[in-house]
Amino acid sequence: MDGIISVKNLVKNYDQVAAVDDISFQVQEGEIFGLLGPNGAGKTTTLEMIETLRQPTSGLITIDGIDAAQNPQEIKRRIGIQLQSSGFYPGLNLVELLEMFAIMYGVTVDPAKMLEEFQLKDKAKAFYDKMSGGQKQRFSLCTTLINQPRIIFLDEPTTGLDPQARVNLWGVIQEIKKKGVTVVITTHYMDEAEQLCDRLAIMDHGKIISEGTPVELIDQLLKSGFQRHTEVRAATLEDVFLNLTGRRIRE
Amino acid sequence: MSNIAPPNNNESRFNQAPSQLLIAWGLTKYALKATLRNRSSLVFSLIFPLVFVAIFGSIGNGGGKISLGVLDSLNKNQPIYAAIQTIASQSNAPVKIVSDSEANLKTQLNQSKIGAILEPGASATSLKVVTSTANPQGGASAQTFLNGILSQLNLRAAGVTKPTFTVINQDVAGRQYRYIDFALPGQIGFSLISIATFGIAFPLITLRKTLVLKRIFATAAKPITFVVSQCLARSVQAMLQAAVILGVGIWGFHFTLAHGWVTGVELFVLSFLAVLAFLGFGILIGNIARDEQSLPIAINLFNLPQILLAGVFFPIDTLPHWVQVIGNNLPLAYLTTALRKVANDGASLVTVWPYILGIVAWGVAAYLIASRIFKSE
Repeated sequence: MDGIISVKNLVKNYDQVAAVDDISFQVQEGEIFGLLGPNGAGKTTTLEMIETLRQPTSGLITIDGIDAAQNPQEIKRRIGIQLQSSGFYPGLNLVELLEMFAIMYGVTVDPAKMLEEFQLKDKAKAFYDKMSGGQKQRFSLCTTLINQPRIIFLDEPTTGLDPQARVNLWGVIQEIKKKGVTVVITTHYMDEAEQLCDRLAIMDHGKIISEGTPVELIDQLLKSGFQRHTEVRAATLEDVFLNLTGRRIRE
Repeated sequence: MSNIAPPNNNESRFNQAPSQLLIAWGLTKYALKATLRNRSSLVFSLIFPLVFVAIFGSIGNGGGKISLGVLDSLNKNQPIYAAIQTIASQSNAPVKIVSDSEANLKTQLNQSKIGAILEPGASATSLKVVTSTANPQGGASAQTFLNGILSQLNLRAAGVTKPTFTVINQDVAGRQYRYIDFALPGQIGFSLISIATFGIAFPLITLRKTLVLKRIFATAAKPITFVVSQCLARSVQAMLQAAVILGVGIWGFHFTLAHGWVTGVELFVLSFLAVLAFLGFGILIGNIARDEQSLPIAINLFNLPQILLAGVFFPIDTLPHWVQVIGNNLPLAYLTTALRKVANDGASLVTVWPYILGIVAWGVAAYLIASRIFKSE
C-alpha cells in the first residue's frame, strides 16, 4: 500500500547532471522519516520537489493521495515547511509573523498560544533576527504548523544549535509526531537520526543507497563483519557535556 | 499542542482554497505595518526632496530687485541719490542700496551681486554710473531705473507738471509664476521614482536571498498576490511622502494649486499611477540585478537619466532638440509635465490624457517583462 508520501522514479537534472537520479520511497503516515546524506547528495532537491517548490524532470510524487504535479496548491495546504536557514519578513514581530502566515494559508490562529507551546511566550514582541539560534528554529518549526498540516518537512532543523537547544528541539519534534503529524527530516547528525527517526533513507550522488529503521541499518552493517575501532563506552561525550552543563536551554 | 491536527481529522479543511484577494489585502496590511515601523528610512527618504524644495522655494524670494552699489564717500544729500533713497525706503521697493567701499563694490559688481555702482559725478547735480560687462542684465535694469528717476527730476526742474507725452501702464492681474511652481512637481516625481525603485528592488533581493520569498510561495499565497501587496504597501508610503512634500510646498513656500483641493486630488491620482508604473520597473530591476552590490548601479541607470532629462531640476526645453525627444518621452517626464499642467495651468485629468497614457504604457511594459523574468530564489 502507498504511504502518505509516495515517490516513484523521481529524477531532477540540472544541465545534464542528475541531482536526483531515479529514486523511489514511501513515507508512512505518522512516522518520522529521515533523509540522510552528505552535502550535495540531493536531499534538499528531493524535499523541494515533494514540497512542489521545484519541478521534477520526471517521476511521480503523490501526497495524501494527491498528484503533486497536478495539484501543487492542494499539496501546499496540506503540508508545513521549514526551509534550510530561511529568514522571515523583516520589520514584523513573532505574533505579526504568525498572523501573516495564517492569512497566507487562509486560516485563523491564536499566536499567543502557539508561541507558548514552543516556549516563546515572552518573545511575542521580539523580532526574528534578534533571537538565538534555538529560538529561531523553534519559531520556524512553529510556523510549519499554522495550517494544521498532515505532513511537515524539516530541512536540517538542528544545524548550528548547541547540544541543549538540539535536545530541546528533538523533544518538540517528538511532541508533534505524537499528535499524528507525519515528519520528514534531513540531517547531517547520525545521533539525531538514530534518536528521532522511525525509518530513514541514506542518499548519495542523487541515489538512495540504503533504507530501513536505524536498528535494521546498523544490523545490516554488523552482519557484514564491521567492527568499531574503539571500545564502546556506556556514555558518549555528549552525555558528559549535557551532564556537566545541564539540559536547560540557554538563550 | 493545540494547533496540531488530531489523527483522522476531517479533511474538508484542506479542500477550500483561500481567496487570493483576502491574502493580498492581509499581506498589504502587514507590509505597510513593517514599512511604517521603520521610521528612520521614512525620514531619510524624505530628506532630499524636502531639502531641494526648501532651496528652490527660497529662490525668487528677494530676487528680481535692482541692487545699486553706493560709495561710502558719496554725499548723501545729492539730489539724485536722495530720490533713489526715497524709493528704496518704501516697502516692496524695486531697488536695494548697498553702501560700501569702492574696492568691495567693484568685487560685488564683477560677481553680479550688484547691477551698478553710483559714484560722485562731475558736478553736484550729476552722478557717475559704473556697470560691468560681467553683468549686462543687472547693468541694463539699473540704467533703466536711473533714467526713469532722471526724467522725473528733469521734468520737475523744468517746471513741467503735465507732460505732453505719456504712457499709461496697466497691469494685467495674473498668477505669479515662480521657480517653486516648476520645482515642486519635479521634486514629487523625484521622490516617487526613488521610493518606487529603491523601495521594492532592495527588499526583493533581500527576501530572495534570505529565502523569505521561497517560504512565502510554499504557502497558499501566489507570487502575483505577494507582489501586488508589496506594490500597494509601497505606493501608500509614496503617497504619504508626496503629501508631505506638497504640504511643505503649499504652507512653507506658497506653492499654489490652480483649483484648490480638486487640483490636489488630481495630483494624487497622477502620482499614484506613476508610482505603480515605477514599481513595475523596481520589480524588473530587482530581478535583473544579481545582488545588493550591483543593484544601486542598475537602479541609477534607470533613475539618473530621468532625473536629469525629464524636467526635475530644469525644464526639458532647455535641452538640445534631440535630447528633448528622449526626455519628453521618459515615464518621469510624463508625470512631471502632467503634474505641472494640472497644478500650474489648471488642466484637468481629462486634458492631460496623453501623459496618463504614456505613464500607463511604460508601466504595462515594465510589468509584462517583470512577470516573465520573476525569480523566487
